[in-house]
Amino acid sequence: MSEAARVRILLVSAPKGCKKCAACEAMIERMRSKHGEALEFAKITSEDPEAAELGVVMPPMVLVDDLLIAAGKVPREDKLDAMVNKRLSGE
Amino acid sequence: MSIYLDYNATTPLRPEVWEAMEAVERGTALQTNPSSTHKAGLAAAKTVKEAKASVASHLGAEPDEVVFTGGGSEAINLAIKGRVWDAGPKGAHVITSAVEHHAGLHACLWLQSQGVEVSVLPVGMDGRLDPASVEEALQPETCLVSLMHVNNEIGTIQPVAEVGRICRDRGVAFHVDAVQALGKVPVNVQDIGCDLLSISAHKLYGPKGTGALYVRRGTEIQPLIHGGRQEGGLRAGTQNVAGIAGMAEAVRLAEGEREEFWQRAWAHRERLHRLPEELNAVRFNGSAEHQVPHCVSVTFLFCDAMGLATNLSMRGIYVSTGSACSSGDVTPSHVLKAIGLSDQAAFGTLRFSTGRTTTEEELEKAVEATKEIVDMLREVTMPEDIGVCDEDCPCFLTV
Repeated sequence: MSEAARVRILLVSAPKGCKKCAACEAMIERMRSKHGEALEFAKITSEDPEAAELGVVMPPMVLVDDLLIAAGKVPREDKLDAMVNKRLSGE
Repeated sequence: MSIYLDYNATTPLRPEVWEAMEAVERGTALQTNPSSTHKAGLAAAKTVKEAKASVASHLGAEPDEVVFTGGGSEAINLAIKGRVWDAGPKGAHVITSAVEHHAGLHACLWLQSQGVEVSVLPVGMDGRLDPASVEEALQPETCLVSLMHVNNEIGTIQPVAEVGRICRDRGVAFHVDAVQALGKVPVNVQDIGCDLLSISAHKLYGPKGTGALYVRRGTEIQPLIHGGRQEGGLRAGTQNVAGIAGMAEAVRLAEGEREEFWQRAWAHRERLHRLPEELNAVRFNGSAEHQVPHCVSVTFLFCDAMGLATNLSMRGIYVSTGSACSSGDVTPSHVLKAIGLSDQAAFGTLRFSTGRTTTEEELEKAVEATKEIVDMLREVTMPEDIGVCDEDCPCFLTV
């Protein structure tokens, strides 16, 4: 990597009491432990204006950079990790 | 950037239609309740009369055979329920197809729950009904056959004229849902041979909440809405004069531009049909021969169409999926299931519907964005996860 590649994961969570949102967050935290600062993690709730900008809000929603990869469900950890690895390696 | 490719869902009001509506509400001559006998009421009545004559002329009908309603769904319900109620619901039999719009299908299924016998006829993989199946299904008690002319999801054109001949020969009333047909294919009630025909303004760049039902002279139906004697006693309630004026103008313009739109839509369709050359595992739904060009149903295998449509929406590109999310339960389109798609394939299907102002540049951008997103989503999607939501899926829609 000529300059540090970074990937941003945005999690749109329900305001409270969402088991799948908690599962998503735990998964992303595991990935952060693995990738360190290269993986930027931001979390908002479905009541935030940024969430409304997305159009349809079905928490949990997981966005990798500008791509919505899952809505209303927990993405596959191996698939998400593979995508993050691919983006960090510049592919 | 905003690229709208969901014209089958609705169409934006065109300027000429706005003008026609504004002339009613803000014109120099006051127009009020068409049932009033003063000058302002008579002016409104004149507008309704002229609109009726105009719409009728485009359908091949007489003015007094046109009933204005509050939309296409209302017209469809009036036709189906009204005909059954007049025939005497007890022992009545209705025939329809498995790919009808929900307005028609659910009206029939509701009647079924009330004791009416309903035959829902299957269609082929191209979405087309075999007229012979209608003939086989007819019974002495059959009081109505109801069929949509052009399918809203996959664009298949049904053999309505052939079914019309069968119904006439057997003396059975025939209703055609022409909501997606008018302005796209020739719609003439004499050529089709139907007794009832439903249309909607907002599919033709007209106002929402305005539609019409053609009722052939001598066809007996009961009203849905009782009250005053408006619309020949078939649809009580003060007419939406501005909406009716808008609808008449929308129909006039759409019919005048129909052939030109058909040609342009074919060019757009051909661009979308090059997708399989550029992307793997793509298939099209509908008929190769009996098809409206502006409606293109595409299945992207191994991809979740809801995710695809949402990603496109985030980029300002608006299309439709074949599934609906209701109370956390994602259900595949009944039309796609009726033509034989698996649940997974149905959940991977998008509908692109082009309009009168769609440009090649817009379509190209939409195609490129679709390809890019499909490729990326296929990296993270397991086939068994497509279309799956748990019972506790909290689903919100923002305005």
